[in-house]
Amino acid sequence: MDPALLKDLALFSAWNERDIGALSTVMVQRTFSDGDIILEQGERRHGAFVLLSGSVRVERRLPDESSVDLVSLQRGALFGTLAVMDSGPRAARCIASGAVFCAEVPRAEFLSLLESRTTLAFQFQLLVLRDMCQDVRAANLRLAELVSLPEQEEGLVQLSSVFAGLS
Amino acid sequence: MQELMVSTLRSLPVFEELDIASARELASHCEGVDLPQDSVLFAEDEPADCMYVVLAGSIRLSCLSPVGEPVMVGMAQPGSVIGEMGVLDGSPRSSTATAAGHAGVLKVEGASFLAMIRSGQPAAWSILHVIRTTLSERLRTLDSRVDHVMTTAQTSGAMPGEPMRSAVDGLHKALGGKE
Repeated sequence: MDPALLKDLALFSAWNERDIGALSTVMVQRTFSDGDIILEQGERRHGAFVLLSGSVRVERRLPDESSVDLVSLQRGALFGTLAVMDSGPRAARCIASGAVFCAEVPRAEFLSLLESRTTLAFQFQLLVLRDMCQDVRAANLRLAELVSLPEQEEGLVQLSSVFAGLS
Repeated sequence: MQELMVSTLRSLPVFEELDIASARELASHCEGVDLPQDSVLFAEDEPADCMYVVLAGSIRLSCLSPVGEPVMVGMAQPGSVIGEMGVLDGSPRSSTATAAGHAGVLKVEGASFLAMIRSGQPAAWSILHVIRTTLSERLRTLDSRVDHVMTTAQTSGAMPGEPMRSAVDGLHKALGGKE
């Protein structure tokens, strides 16, 4: 894959040209149309992706079969790493919003980067770990917001009653 | 005392592959911290300049909800690494860590820790492996807790958003808003 596609992404701002070039040799370009499912929740296929253009909607199916939108990923996002790293099922469904252009690090190459003790592998691991830190922060916030929702709603309902009493 | 710290470090899963020289170097940047019950180890939004390994007891991790109530997002047990995220990505603490009972932790200077994993020595890879596993497990646990909260809310009829919408409608009417 052309390394120029990665150079101006914030994700690789601390990387030198040699490491970007080396990573690009194991990446595969992938294109998707609007509505295409890039990753399916529960599956264990494919590798991890860097979003080069377009946006990707991430939704999670709940045990009762309803779905919730989690986030909309934009250019420069890294996604799909967790299930490759721990060999578990995909935690969410990723759907193309409009035309999407990605660079995939195939599963075998991703795992090889985790195990090989090279400078490139070290840089790649740090990048993935920092990205996971952001995911954990987002999940912490989501949980805190969800748990507090009934309290917020109760407060608003009480406020509503007060105003209703005044009208 | 220094040798005790070195053997403590090498007994922890995250540092078990450290050679003696590296363990001695890292030990000079570590200190043991004793935590009485309910004492706060670090608070949400504080700068993160160090990480910790739990030696004894349990550490409760919580985040403040939008209404200012603490919500527990994790519980760290002996051997667990905590506070590593801020050291890795330079962001402030994402949660508050509080001793759930009497606890003991090992404080590791962030700069020394980063120098250790950048050293390229074999131990750096085992440290990265432990952190990777820790973060993966944390994410999976959080995902299932979010699922549980959302499903419970839907099953009980308290679907997030509905009471809020009806309350906002009520306010709108009370304030003389148009239908």
